Amino acid sequence: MIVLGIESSAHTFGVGIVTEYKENFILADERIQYVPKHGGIHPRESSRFLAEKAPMVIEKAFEKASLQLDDVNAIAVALGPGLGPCLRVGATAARALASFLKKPLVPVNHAVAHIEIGLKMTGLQDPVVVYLSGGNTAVIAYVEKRYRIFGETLDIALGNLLDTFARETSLGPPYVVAGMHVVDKCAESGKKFLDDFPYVVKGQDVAFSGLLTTALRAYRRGLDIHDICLTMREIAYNSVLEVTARCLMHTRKKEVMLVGGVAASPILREKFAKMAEKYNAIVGVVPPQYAVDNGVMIAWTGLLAFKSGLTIDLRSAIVKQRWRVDEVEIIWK
Amino acid sequence: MEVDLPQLKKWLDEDVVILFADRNEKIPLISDLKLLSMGAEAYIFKARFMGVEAVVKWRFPKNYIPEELDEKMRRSRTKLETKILWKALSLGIKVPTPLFIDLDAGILIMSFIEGESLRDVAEKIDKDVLCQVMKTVGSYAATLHLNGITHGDLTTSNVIVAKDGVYLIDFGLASFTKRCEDMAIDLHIFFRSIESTHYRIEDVAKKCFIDGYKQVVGDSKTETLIRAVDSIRLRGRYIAARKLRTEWVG
Ligand SMILES: Nc1ncnc2c1ncn2[C@@H]1O[C@H](COP(=O)(O)OP(=O)(O)OP(=O)(O)O)[C@@H](O)[C@H]1O
Ligand SMILES: Nc1ncnc2c1ncn2[C@@H]1O[C@H](COP(=O)(O)OP(=O)(O)OP(=O)(O)O)[C@@H](O)[C@H]1O
Repeated sequence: MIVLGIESSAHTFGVGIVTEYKENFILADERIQYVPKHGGIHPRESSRFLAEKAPMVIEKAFEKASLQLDDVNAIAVALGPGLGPCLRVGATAARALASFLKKPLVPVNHAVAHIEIGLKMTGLQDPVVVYLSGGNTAVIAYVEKRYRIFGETLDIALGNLLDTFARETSLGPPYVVAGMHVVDKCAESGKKFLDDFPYVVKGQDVAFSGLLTTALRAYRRGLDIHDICLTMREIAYNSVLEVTARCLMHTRKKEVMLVGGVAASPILREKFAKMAEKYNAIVGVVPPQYAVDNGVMIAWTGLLAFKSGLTIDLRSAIVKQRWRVDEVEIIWK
Repeated sequence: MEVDLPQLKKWLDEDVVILFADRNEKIPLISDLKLLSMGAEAYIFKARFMGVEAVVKWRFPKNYIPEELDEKMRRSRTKLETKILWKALSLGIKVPTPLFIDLDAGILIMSFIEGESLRDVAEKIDKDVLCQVMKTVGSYAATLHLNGITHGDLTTSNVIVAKDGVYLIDFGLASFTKRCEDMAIDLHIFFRSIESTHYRIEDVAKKCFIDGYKQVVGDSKTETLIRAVDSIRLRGRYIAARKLRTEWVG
C-alpha cells in the first residue's frame, strides 16, 4: 500500500509518500518553506506562496519516488489545526488529486500526525508525549482511543520564553548557535540562583509569562545576565519535568517521547534522562527533521487511518482551523 | 520507582518521651510508615506520629535539578505549604493540621483525614449531598481567594469528604497571589477535573460550586472571574473548539 500525504498548515508545503515497509518506508519527502522577510507568518502571504509552489512540490515527490500517478492507493491531507488560508491550499490540492486519480481521500489531524511520526521514528510504543516548541508546550498521553492533553502552558510556550528573553536582552537572534540555545549557553557561566523567580506549576499545567517578566526586570536592574539565564532556564525546564513526572505517575506509562524544537536542547535532554530513570521510564527524541512540519507525517498517519478504513467524501473535506488533538478517535490502536 | 526509605528514616529516627502523671513512656517519633502515593515531587506516607495517625509528606531530592536550587525549592515549598495550611485553618477552612516540619529534609507531617476522596464518591452520593459538598468547596475556594491564596491543584481528588465535614488537602502547589488570573486558574482546573472525570454530574457540580463561591464574594466578582476562566480556555493554537462549558452560568 502506498499513501501520499499533504501538509500545509502554516509555513510549510510538504508532500510525503510512504509505504508499509518496516525499513525505508519513506519513498518521497519534499518540502518547501515560506520564510517571511520580517516578522511573523502572515496567513494570506504564506498561503499565496504555498499555492504557487504546490504543483511543483507534488510533481517532485512523484519523481523522487519513481512512481506513476496511479501507483498511489490513497491521498491523505492535514485538515487542521492551523492557519485557515494555508490549510485550504493543501485541501484544494488533495481534493483535486483524489478526484483526478479517482483515489480515496483520508483526513489527518496535524497534531496527531506529529505524534504518529514520532512513534514511528523513535520506535516507542505508548509514551507520554512532551511537545516543546516555539508555539506549543503540552504533555499528551494516549488514553482510551485518544491522545489526551494532560497538561499544557497556560500562557506562552517554552520556546517563546527562551526566544523572547534572548531577543529582549540582545543575546539573539540567532537563537540557536551550534545546537545550543543562546540562553542555555549564557546559563553555563551562571554562578548562583536568584531569589523570587516564580516557579509556576498549576495542577498539570505550567505558565511562563511571570517568569519572563521577572527575568527581564532582573536584567534591567543590572543583575548578572548569566545568573538570570541559569535561574530562568532551570525553573522553566524543571516545571516541564515536574508535569511530565506527574503524568508518568498518573498514567503509569514507561516511556517519554520528546518532540519539538526545544527538545534539541542537550541540557533538557539530560534532565529528562535522569528524571525518567527515577520513574523506570525510557526517553526517545524525535529527530529534528521529522519534528518540524512535513508531508511524511501526514502520509504515514493517513496510511494508518486508511488501513483502518477511514476515508472522507470529497465534499466533506473542509479545513478545521481549530481541531483539538483529543477530538480525534485513534481508530488504528 | 524506588523509595529511598533509609534516607527518610534517618531524618525521623528519634524517640520522644511522653510524660504522664504516673509514668514516662518512650515512643518513636514516627512508626508504621506506609507509602500512600508517589507524586511528582513528594512521597506521601501514612504513619503514626507520636502515637497519632498522621500523613508524612517528603519532598525528595531530585538529581535532575542542581542541588542548590533543589534544596532551595524543597525548603521554600515545604515552608509555604505549612504557612498556607495555618492560614486556611485560621480562615475556618477544614484542612489537615500541620504537626511537624523539618525544612532541611523537606518533611511536613500533618494530621490524617479519615474519609473518602470526592473523586471516588461524587457520582455515588445523593444529588443534594453532592450539591452541598460542592457549595462548601466553592465557598472554601472563594475564602482562599479573598485572602490572596490560590490552591494550585484544586481537583476532586484533593477534596476529602469526612464524617465531620469537607476537607481540602494537598496545598503543595498553593501560593500567595493578588492576580485575578491565578484565581481563575483554580476554577479552570477544578472545572476540568469535573469535566474529565465526572461528566455525568457536571452541571450540578459546577452550578453548586459557583453558588458556594458567590455566597462569599458576591455575584459580580464571581461573574468577572468566570469570564477570565473562559479566556484562559481559548488560548493556544491547538486549543481548538474547546467547549466553553462555563457559558451557562449567570
Ligand atoms: N538546541 C535548542 N535548544 C533549545 N531550544 C531550541 C533548540 N533548537 C531550537 N530551539 C527552539 O525551538 C523553537 C522552535 O521549535 P519548532 O521549530 O519545533 O516549532 P515552531 O514552529 O516554533 O512551533 P509550532 O510548529 O509548534 O507552532 C524555538 O523557540 C527555538 O528557539
Ligand atoms: N492529610 C491527609 N489525610 C488523608 N489522606 C491524605 C492526606 N494527604 C494526602 N492524602 C492522600 O494521599 C494522596 C496523595 O496526596 P497529595 O495529593 O498531597 O500528593 P501529591 O504528591 O501532591 O500528588 P500529585 O502528584 O497527584 O499532586 C491524596 O490523594 C490522598 O488520598
